[in-house]
Parts: sequence; structure tokens; C-alpha cells
Amino acid sequence: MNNILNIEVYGEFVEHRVIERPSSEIDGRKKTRRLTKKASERIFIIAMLFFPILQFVVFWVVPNFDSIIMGFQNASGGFTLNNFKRFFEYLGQGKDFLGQYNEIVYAIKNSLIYFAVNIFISTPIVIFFSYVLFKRVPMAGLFKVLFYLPSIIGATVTTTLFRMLLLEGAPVYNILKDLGFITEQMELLGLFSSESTAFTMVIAYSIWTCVGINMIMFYGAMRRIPNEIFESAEIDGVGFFQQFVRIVVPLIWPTITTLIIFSLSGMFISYGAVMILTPDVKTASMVGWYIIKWTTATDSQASLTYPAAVGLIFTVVGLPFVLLIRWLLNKVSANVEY
Amino acid sequence: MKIKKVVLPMLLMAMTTIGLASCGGGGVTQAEPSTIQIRAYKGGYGTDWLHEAAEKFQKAHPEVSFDFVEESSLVGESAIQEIAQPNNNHIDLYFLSGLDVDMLIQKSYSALKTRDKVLLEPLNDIFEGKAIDVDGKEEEETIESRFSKGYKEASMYNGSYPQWHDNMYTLPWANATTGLFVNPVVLEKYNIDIPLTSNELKNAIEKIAAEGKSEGIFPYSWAGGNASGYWSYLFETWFAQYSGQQNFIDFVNTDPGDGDILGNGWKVYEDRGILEGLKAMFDILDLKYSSNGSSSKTHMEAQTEFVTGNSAFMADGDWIVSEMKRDYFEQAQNIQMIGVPILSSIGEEIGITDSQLHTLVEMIDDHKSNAEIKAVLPMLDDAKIDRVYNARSVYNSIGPSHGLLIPSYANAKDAAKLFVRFLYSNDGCRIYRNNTYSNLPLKYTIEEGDTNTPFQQSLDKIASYANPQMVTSSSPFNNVRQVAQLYNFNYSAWVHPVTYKAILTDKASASPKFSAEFIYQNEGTYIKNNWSKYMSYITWL
Amino acid sequence: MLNIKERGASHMKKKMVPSIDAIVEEPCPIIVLRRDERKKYKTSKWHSYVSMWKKKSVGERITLSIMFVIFLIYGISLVFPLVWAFYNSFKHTVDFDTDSFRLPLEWTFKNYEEVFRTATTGKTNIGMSIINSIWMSTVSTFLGLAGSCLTAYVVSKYKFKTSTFIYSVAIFIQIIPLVGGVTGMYQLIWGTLQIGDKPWFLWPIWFGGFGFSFLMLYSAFKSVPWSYAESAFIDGAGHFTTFLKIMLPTVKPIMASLFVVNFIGAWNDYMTAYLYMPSYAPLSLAVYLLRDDATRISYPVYLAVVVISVIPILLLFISFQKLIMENTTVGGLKG
Repeated sequence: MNNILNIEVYGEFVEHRVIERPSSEIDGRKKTRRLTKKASERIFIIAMLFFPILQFVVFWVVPNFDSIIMGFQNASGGFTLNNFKRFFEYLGQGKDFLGQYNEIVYAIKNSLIYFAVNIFISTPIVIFFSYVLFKRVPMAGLFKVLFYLPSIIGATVTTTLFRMLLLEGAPVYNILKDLGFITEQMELLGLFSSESTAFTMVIAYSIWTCVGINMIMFYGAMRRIPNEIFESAEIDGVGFFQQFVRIVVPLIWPTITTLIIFSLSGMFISYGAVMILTPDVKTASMVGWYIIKWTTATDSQASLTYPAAVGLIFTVVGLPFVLLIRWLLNKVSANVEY
Repeated sequence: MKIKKVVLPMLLMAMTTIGLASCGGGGVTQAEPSTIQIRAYKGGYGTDWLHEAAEKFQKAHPEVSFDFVEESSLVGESAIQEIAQPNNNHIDLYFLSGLDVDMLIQKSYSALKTRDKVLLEPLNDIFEGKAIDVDGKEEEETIESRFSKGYKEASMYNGSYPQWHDNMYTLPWANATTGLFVNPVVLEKYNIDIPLTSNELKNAIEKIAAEGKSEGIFPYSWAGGNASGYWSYLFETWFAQYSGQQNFIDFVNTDPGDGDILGNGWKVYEDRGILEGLKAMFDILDLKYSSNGSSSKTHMEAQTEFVTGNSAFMADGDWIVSEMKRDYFEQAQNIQMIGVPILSSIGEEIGITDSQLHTLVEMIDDHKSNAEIKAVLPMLDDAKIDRVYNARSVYNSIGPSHGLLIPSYANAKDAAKLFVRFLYSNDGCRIYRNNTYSNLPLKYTIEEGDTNTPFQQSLDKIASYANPQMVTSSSPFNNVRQVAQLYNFNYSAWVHPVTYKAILTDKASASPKFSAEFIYQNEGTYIKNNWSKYMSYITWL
Repeated sequence: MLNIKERGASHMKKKMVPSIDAIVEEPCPIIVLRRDERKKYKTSKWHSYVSMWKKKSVGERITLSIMFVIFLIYGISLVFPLVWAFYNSFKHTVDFDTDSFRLPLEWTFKNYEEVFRTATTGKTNIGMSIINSIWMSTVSTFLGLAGSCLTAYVVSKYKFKTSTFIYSVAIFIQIIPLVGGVTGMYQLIWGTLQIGDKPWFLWPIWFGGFGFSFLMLYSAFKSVPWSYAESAFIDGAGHFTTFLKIMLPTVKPIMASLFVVNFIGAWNDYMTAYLYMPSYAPLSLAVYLLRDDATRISYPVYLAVVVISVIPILLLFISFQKLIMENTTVGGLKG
């Protein structure tokens, strides 16, 4: 018997002829065939998953567990709580006679600021920019490509050029000076060394390059909103900004949530541009950079146990925070599946 | 679509071709015992001297060949990783910058899993033996006798593992004289003589600050970006001038004199040399005396500024000409190194005026005898003259940190040692001089045709005082500084917690609170109060 | 046995529209054009834009115009550094030191020559860095996609006990902030396994199967009808053949754009080499390492290195730009 099924291919329904074998041909061998089928399926699944899972265990599970264990070890492998003791001692050290706190204090503060800027300044900017592009601002296509540029040419090049152009005597620095943004203090010390401006430069960099991959996500999400919604909004007289606030943002909320969660979970891991812009300024440090510095330190007393302990502390602190935010964000708006 | 399919592979092919065509060189492979594989720090003095030395060496030893694996980053720390892998490493001879023999030994223990031997070859036989010249003949004097004073002690290991004491695991490949440099063109422009006392230096700086501002010329350049620690060359010399060189070395080793570092090490922070040195530093440290943005400048930018006549002074090292010769050869050769001006407070203490101190120093520089000096300055006695003489003879050198070493498992060990003996010969020293415009820390004589620029002559004059002070520390406190968080990771003020950059920044702020007295008092108290805590950290490590 | 390829693939081929660009431009509805119709479509694009613009309210037009200016300034600010780097890489050092804003007084190739002669980082010179960039990016992208294909296909298409668990874990690890990962990995590679600086042992770190690509491919596979596989099974194909010959080709567009995006990411990744393979520095790492020595080789030479490291990826991007821009949507990830 011939059956004709309509199966969807690239959105179009296409006729497919399916030739069924008469059941008698199958029946006799039904049982054995099913068994073999199940077995061969199982073998296939295991074969396909074996190496990726092995890789996962070795290169994800093991390092993370090892890191937890190392946090409780001393240099010769014995159990100790000294690493944590050290961390809290640094934290509670108070000001030294130079009037500065320990680097970890600044690192924590800066990571929080960096993240807050990301959520409350960069993300709204990106969403709004995406919306403007979505609304077909002239030369939108060109702008999409331009804004993506920092992601294309990579972090090292972008940060290095950013820094070079803002050093004393460099073109952009001179422009800022002519516009009056540089105070005498800043002039004397330079933007990347003076403790008041060093971290500001890191923040400025992050805002300057925030549009980019996220824009593509938001733009894509907006594009999938059915046109009819906009058409009826136009008819109802809903304006440009109203549409943005009342229609677009709620409808792409899941995307926004996802991106916020991703950036949240990287809060204590990312080192922004600190590594290249201001690696030697204590007050511009960040937690991720702090850990990497300690991990890769090669002077005589370097040991991985301390950064492992620090990592553990921030994981323990960060995890409930992430889950809490996620729960909050999901509660804020009803889920509209896209 | 088609275009894309063509573009991508073509692009990859083009890049691979360019890459392959230009890559060449730099292999780390097994080789015969007569091929010396060398890894060298390329910054600062460059490696041209090494290549020329290798070429000349091959004339007398044609069976030896060289393989250079060069790099420009600071090799010391990363090389340790490599040296600690005897099965994988084929480098025979290292020329490093920044070296920690304690750490090498530590890594050696964990790599070899035994404490009976270490991965480093002792080089005592080279030091005590004789050099060989370009024709392969042995010289008459031993290398030891030609070496500058203090290098023997500095090269002998005396760190945390007493079992290996007195072995020389590294020898220096640079003298790295550091201190104060002047640009005579700028001094002449403002009619300033070379300062011989710290007050004169201060006055010179103030004068240039006032008169040069309109022309964009500053008293000095400095590199806040990656070399603010260069200021320590001045501080350390002043300390030694005031308290004597031995006291300074004790300070670096936190040795209070009774040998009880663990209990009393903090006492070294009470040395008055710190106060006097800091006072002199505060006199000259001010952001207004340098160009804007110096806080972020790299040492190359600062040196460029200095060499091209935009400033008069710079605290730096003798690599300056070698680094600047590529683009600013002529200007660089006119730079001069001068002795660090004598602390005016010394003059006060021995009861003479500053201008009398100037005369005294001048006469010492002219090698006048005590009798001749007393004729001009009758209020002085031998003790006072000697004090100033000792102060004048001290100069800073970071030569020991520019160490060469040979792994104990090196294939071409003997060939490498032979090569080092050539480097230390008179011919080797001359090759070094002609390429780097600075010196190896040995006595040698120059011949017809060798370079002898004003810069080099000024270096020779400094070296003639023959009293370098080298700052290598074996104090446990040094090991603990990082844990104690007494400094940042990069560019630390390793001698004492305050950084010169911090001093400068504070001075430029709205309400500065630092002064020499402030730092001297508070730093001393702070370290004293925390000393037992710091010492307890040692057990954590 | 019937020829599966003929049966399955040819059906798809016949129905495959000639202009793939037209399809991916508008995810819905589908516009199917023949080649000769494309021209008409393109010119009318301008007209349709103008007519759309005319339909906008005055307020919206003003807003968009203001945003246009802002975008213009912002866009220029993003492009200028590259342009600056480019023309300065042809300057003499002294020219650069005097004024880095103006165009070169005299254009010279000297800097580029010198890059290949003297710029070295660690054990590698620029030539080797180029090669490192090429093989590292290719291998890591390829391995990453391969691993993700294997896992995404199986987890999305086959029902077995742990499949939902695996999917949840994949989501979980994206969200959970495991801050100590770097330290543990560093210890694993340099301490436990001692495979540091040995790419022939290190390559498995790229053979991951549970990252972002996994999530993308998972949803891609989810939307491919299972009946393709079923008809292949009926025709006697095994699981693996079905996977390779029927199912995998259906996700080619997603794979292609994932490949390009991941390739660009891998090209610009300096951290992996910095931490685990410092002797095999790719261009991105060379740019970072030379930064300190930037001035040992003089700024214009350094800018030449920057330009060299950027040109390939720019060309790649320009060629595959559409593909990248279409790529992704990240809906609400539940679980």
C-alpha cells in the first residue's frame, strides 16, 4: 500500500511517498529485529557520547573539583584552612599606612560596579540600539557590521588601540583635552595611572564596546515578533517609544533574562580589560584578574592553593546570587515562548 | 557563495605561505654536543653582542655551532618552568634577566624528586679559571682577578638551602650600572653645572622647571608605566652614602646585625639612612618636574624624551644607549652617567657648607690625596674625608640579576663553558662594549678601533670607583613580602613598601599627607607591629 | 537496498530554493524567488525603504534621524582606531613620535620588514604566530563543532534515560559561576597531566560537547523531523550512516555560521595560549606580549603587528558577514 505523507521541508509542505513493506515481511522477524534495533541504538548512543563525556569529565569536572580541594590544601598537600584565613585577613586588613586597602577590596568593589554598569547601562543601550536598527534607521545594515567590529578584531587589539589613543599626546586624548574633560590632576598622572580615573577607563571601554554580539541576539529576537503586532499598534496610535517599552521589551524579555544571567555568572570570572589597560593599578583590579594573577604568578612563593580558595569563596557567594536573580527575572514577566 | 568558497582557502593558503616563509629558526630539538643552544633575553642590551661573540668564537673552534632561541620578554621566570623539565629541554646556555636561584632549586627538587642534586651546573670552575681569547689561547690572569668587586659574593649562592651554598650557579652577563644620567645639551642650555651635591641637584631641577616650562623641557623623565622602580637606584645609593654600604646591604637582607632576622629583622627599618634617602627623594619627586602623563609612560617613551633633549635628568641604567641606538643613535651617545650627588646632609653633619662639599667631591673625583684636600679644606680630618670618599665610590649595579646559567643536564655543557670563558676574555669584553656601549663587570683594555663615546667614557669613570653595590637579597622577608601584600605584583618597591609612584601621586593630590618623616615613622612602626605576623607566614608557604 | 541518498536528499534538493540568501533574510514568511526575479527584488528594496520611511510619523523620523547621527559618530569611533593603526604602521618612528595623528610624511614598508625580522614573543616569531593562529583556530573550531554535533544529535533525537539530565547539565554549566575553574585547569594541565605547552596532547580541551554550540545545534536538530531518519532506517541504514548522510546535512546552515563565529572567537582567543601553550603564541597573544616590548620594537612596528593580526579576520568577516548576522536567537532557556 502506498501512503502519501505531507512533510514540511523548509516551511513548505511537500509530498512524500512512503512505501510500506507488507507487515508479513516484518512480523516474523519482529521481535529479534526490535531487540537488535534497541541494542544497536544503545551502542550508537554510547559510542557518540563516549568521548565528549570523557572530555567533559577530564576537563570540566576534574578541574573544578580539584580547585575546590586545592583550596583546602597547603603547599605540601596537607589539609589547612590557611588559605581562607589569608583571604579574610586581607579583606579585613583595613587601611595600611599609605591609606589603601588590600587589593581584594578594590577587586570586589570594582567587579560589582562593572557588573552593575553592564546591567543598568550597557544592556539598555544595546537593547535600544537594537530597536533603532530594527526600526530601520538609515544605513542600518552598515551600522550592524560596524558595531560588531570590536568582537571581530578581538579584545587584545581593541584594548591596546583604546589605550594607545588615550595616552598623553595621543589623538583622542588631545581631543578630550580640547573639550575640557581632562583636569589638571588627570593631566599630571595620565588617565590609566591615576587611581581616580584608572577604573573609569575600564568602565568606559566596556561601554564603548558593549554593542556587538548582544545586539545580534536582541535584534534577532525582535525580528521574530510577528509583524501583525506592530501593525495593530500603529493603528492604535502607539508611538515609537511606547512600542519599545510596552511591546518590544516584554516580548523579548526571555532573551534579556538569558543574557543577564550569562553575564551575571561571569561576574567574578571576567577581567574585562583590566589585564591590558590597567594591570598595575591596585585600585582598578577585578576579581577575575586577581585570580588569574595569583594563578600564573611565578615568583618563589607562588602556589595555586590560594587562588583556588578565593575561587571557591566567590563561587559559594555567587551561586545563590545567580539563582536568586534568575528567579526574580523570571517572575517579572510572563513567559512568552520564542 | 562561490567567491566565499574560493576566498577562504586562498586566504589560508596565503597566510600559511607567508608564515612558513618567514618562520624558520627557533628550534628546540636534540643536537650534537658541539651545538650550543642558547636562549637569551633580548631586551635592554640586545643580543647582537652575543651573535658577534659566537661568530668570533667559531673561528677558533670551527666544530662548534650555535642555535639561538631568542625572546624579548623577561625570561627569568618563564625559563624556570622550562629548566625544570630535563626531559624536554635542550637549551644549554641561558642569558636571563631577573633570576631567583632559590626558586630554581625548589623546582629542581620537585622535578627530580630528590634533594641530592640540582638542575643547575656550578660555574665556579669558570670563575676561578682563565679566559680564552679569540685565537683560543688562555689569558694570563684569572677571571676572578679581573672581576669587579662584590661579584664573587653576589654570585655565590647563599639562600634558603645551605647544602648548596658557595656554588656559583649564575654568573653575570652585564654590569648593569644604574643611577643618574644627564643630558649635557640641556644642562648647557640653562647654564647648569653637573650637580655634585643633592642640594645642587634640587636647585638644578627647580631652575629647569621654571625656565624650561615654556619650551616644553622638563627637569627629568621617568616611566610610571613600567619602570617607576628606577627611582630606587637613587634612593638606594643615598642610603648607602649616608649609612655606609654594609648597612644598606643589611637593610636589604633585613639583618639587624645580631643575626636574628626572625625576631628582630624589623629593626633595619629604623636606620637613618632611610630617612635621609627619603628626604632627598622628596626634594626631587614632584609631578611638575616631569612631562604630563609620565605616570603611564613606558621606559622607552621616557628614555626617548630624555635622549631627544626634552629633559635634563633621568634615573636609569646603562642599557639606555643600547635601547635607544636604533632610532636615536647620535643623541644617545651624548648622554652621560654621573655619580649620584652626595647627600647634602652629610656635608651638614661633618660641618661644612654645601659649596665646600662641592669642592670636596670635586677633589675626590680628581683623585687628590687627603693631604691635598686638607690643604684646601682644613676643617676636615681623615675620618670625614673617608666618609665622603666612601659615599662617592658607591654606585648601584643590578648586574647579578642578569645571570647566565647552564643546566646540569645540558648536552653541550663543556662547549657552553668554553664559550663563557671566551665571553669573559678581553676580546669578549670588547665585543660586548662595541655592541652594547656598556660593560661586562670585568677589567679589560680597549684597543684601536673600539668605540669610546662620551657615554662610555662616563661609564668607565663611574666604574673606576670600583665599589659597586649589588642588591640581591637572601632574606626570608623578601620571600614573604608578596604574601604579606607589601607590594603589588608588578613593579614593586621591593625594598620598602612605599612606591615612588605613590609618593608622586600623593604630592599631586589635593591634600598630600606623605613626607619623608611620615613614611619613615609609620613604615617603621607598621612593619614592627606586623613583624611576627609576617614571619608566621613563612610556615604557610 | 534503495539508495537512501537518492530518496531523501534528492527530495530536498528538488525543493531547495535557488536563492538561499532570500530565504535566510526573512525567517518568515518565506519568499521563494528564481534567479531572474532577484534583480527586481533588489531595486525595489530601495523603493520599499523610502515608502516605509514615508509611513513613519514625524516623531519617529526625528528620533531616527537623531539616532542616525549618534550611530554615525559611534561607528566612526569604532573604525578610527583601526584606520589610525593602519596608516601609522607605515610611518617612520620619529614621525610617529612627533605626531601620531597626521598621515605619514613618508610612507614606508620598513616596519613590516622589521616585524618579520625581529618581532619575537617567547619562542615564536611572527611567522610562526601566523601559523599558530591558523592551526589553532581551525582545529579548535572543528573539534568543538564535531563534539557538539555528536552530543546535540544524540541528546535531541534519541530518547534515553539521561538525555534530559545531560541537557540540563549543559544549561547549568553556562549559568553557574564556577570561579575556580581556571586554577583547577592550570593545575591539571601543568601539574597533574604535565601536558602544558604540548598541543599534540592538549587538543582535547577543544573537543568539548556541551557549550554554546551544543545548545544551538540542539535546537537545530530538534526542528528536523525524525521521519527522515525513520525512512532511512526502513531502508536499512544504520544509526551512524543516518546521522552522517541524512541528518547532519540538514543543519548545514547553522553549522556554517557556527563555524565562522567560533573561528573568529578562536582566532581572537589569547587566554588559552597564554595559560597553556605559551610557546605557541598565536597572533592574538603576540599582540598582547609584544605590548610591553611594544617600544623595544618601536610603536609603528608594533602597529604593523596589529594590522597583520587583524587583516585575515576582517577579510573572513567581510566574506561571511551575512552568515554571521543571521545566526542566532537565544530564547528563554528554561530548565
